[in-house]
Amino acid sequence: MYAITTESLGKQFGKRWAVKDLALQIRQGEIFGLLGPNGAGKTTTMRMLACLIAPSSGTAVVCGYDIRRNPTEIRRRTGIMTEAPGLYETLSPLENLGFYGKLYDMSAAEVRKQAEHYLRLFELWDRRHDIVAGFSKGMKQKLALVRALLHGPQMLILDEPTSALDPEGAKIVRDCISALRGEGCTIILCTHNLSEAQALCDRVAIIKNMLLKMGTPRELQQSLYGRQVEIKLANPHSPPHSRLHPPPNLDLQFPAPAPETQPRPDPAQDGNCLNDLAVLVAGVAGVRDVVVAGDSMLMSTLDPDEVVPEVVRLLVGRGADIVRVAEVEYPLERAYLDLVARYNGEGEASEAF
Amino acid sequence: MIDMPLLNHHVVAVIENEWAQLRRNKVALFTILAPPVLLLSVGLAILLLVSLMDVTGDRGGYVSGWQVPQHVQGTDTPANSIQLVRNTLLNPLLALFQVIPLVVPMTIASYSVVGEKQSRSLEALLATPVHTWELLLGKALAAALPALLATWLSFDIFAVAARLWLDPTRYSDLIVSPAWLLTMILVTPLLTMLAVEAGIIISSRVKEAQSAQQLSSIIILPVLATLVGQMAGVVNLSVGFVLTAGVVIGLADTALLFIAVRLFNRETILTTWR
Repeated sequence: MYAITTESLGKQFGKRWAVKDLALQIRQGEIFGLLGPNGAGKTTTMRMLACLIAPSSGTAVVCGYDIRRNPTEIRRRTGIMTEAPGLYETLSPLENLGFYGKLYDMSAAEVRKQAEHYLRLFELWDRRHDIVAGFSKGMKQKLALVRALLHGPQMLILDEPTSALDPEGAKIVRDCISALRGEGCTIILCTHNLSEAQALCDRVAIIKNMLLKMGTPRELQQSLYGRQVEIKLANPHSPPHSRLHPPPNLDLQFPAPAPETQPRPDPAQDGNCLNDLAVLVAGVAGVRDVVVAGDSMLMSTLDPDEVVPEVVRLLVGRGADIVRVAEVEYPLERAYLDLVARYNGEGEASEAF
Repeated sequence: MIDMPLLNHHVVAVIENEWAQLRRNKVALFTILAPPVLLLSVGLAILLLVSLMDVTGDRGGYVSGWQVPQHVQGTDTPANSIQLVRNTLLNPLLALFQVIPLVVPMTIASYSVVGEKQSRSLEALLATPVHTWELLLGKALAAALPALLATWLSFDIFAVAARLWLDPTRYSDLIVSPAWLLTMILVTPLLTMLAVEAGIIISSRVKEAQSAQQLSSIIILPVLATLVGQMAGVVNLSVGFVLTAGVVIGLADTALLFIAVRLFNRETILTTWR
């Protein structure tokens, strides 16, 4: 079940489209990352979903309500934490929360209960009567998050929630976000911290004035690089003792060296033996690409389950000592940067996995 | 579409929040309290002077060595004397009192709107279920009510002092005349509304409360012109003049309200307010 669906959603300021033709489906209870460079339209998208600005084209359904027809109902079910904490600095945390509680139609008892719960969780309870102006940036950020959570929203929009926090505070916030996932709250996380997005988000959308990619971080990686397997060898630069006698049943795409004419590799030449094995591996059916990196080779394949056993048999048959075989998990950051660079200025059509 | 009573709990919450912030802002508090206190002091001083003045002509227009201006003198009838004293000294006070409903709400509205911009709290505020009309009304009332209260309270203190210091005839002729009462009941609220609207409109375009106040102070000029006109004997604050002023201010209120409501919608606030 989708908590949020958008269809051709777009916003135009003057002649410029901040974001265009956005088609998102965000599942209920999902943590969804909205990623993109500055000016990509992330904030505009978040504002449209929170019914702060009206779309110029398309529509969206949020928590079961149309953003054009029922904006108040959507705002009632939404919590938002903006990039700036946006607190009333001359008031105390309890006064800030009390005001927002009234705007969300909460009773005083409800506000008190929720405020105490979250202020204790974020270690602000002891400062509940102090003026916010005296708080550190991290404390203000935490208080802004408490304000967003106060009324138990069905959808939570978080814009850079941990950007000003120390590692401990950031962990508390991340733990809280994870805990909310279990409670059915749909979270849209807008962040430039890609490792945080990778750790927290079930799925991400990368936008740059339009949707570039949407899917899980793993899907994103695979769509760009395929699945990559790292094969690490012991003594990779020593000649394998049996490499001159390849198994006869291998389907090699390049001619196997003749045992009598093949010169013995010079161990002084770094990588020579590993390179030779890489050439052999590249010839295995299903292997798309092999790259030598240090004492390992990185093998791209669409189907590791089929290909890896065969490659391992080949290498072992050639006398290679395999230390580790593992599928590579690339950081989201690399995929993000490659994707944005690839689409930069190209204006290609959006794509979902 | 307004489908709830005007003064609902959202509006009350906005008013309470504005006042809570105002109480903690010493600069704003001083700027708000200073004009009523100052103007009331001036009013009481003039009142004291008038009470000491013998307007029957027995002493030839002299009060403790101070000579009444030439255009006030030269009459022997009490009625004419009273009229002249009213024109010269007391009627300008009426215009002076009208500075309060202009300055006070403008200050509060400026701090309110610019304060939200400076603390960047508008986006979180607008993300709540509050309607923009509730927000506008709450902010407007938070600015207008103290101004009205200050003006009427100042006038009440002035009237009580006049009742004590002037004889009953002079009190009823000078202080509780129809023009004065009409001004307090009709013009004061209209001027307050004008100041609130001007404060909100100007504050939406500037980054500092002080800049907003400086720009907004332009609307005090017509009141000051009235004051100078009275002292120069050009303007007579009659009932007709007050009613005419009421209509003009009411029309200005309507025009500014239209602009303020257009400015005060979510998208405009988030995308054009700087």
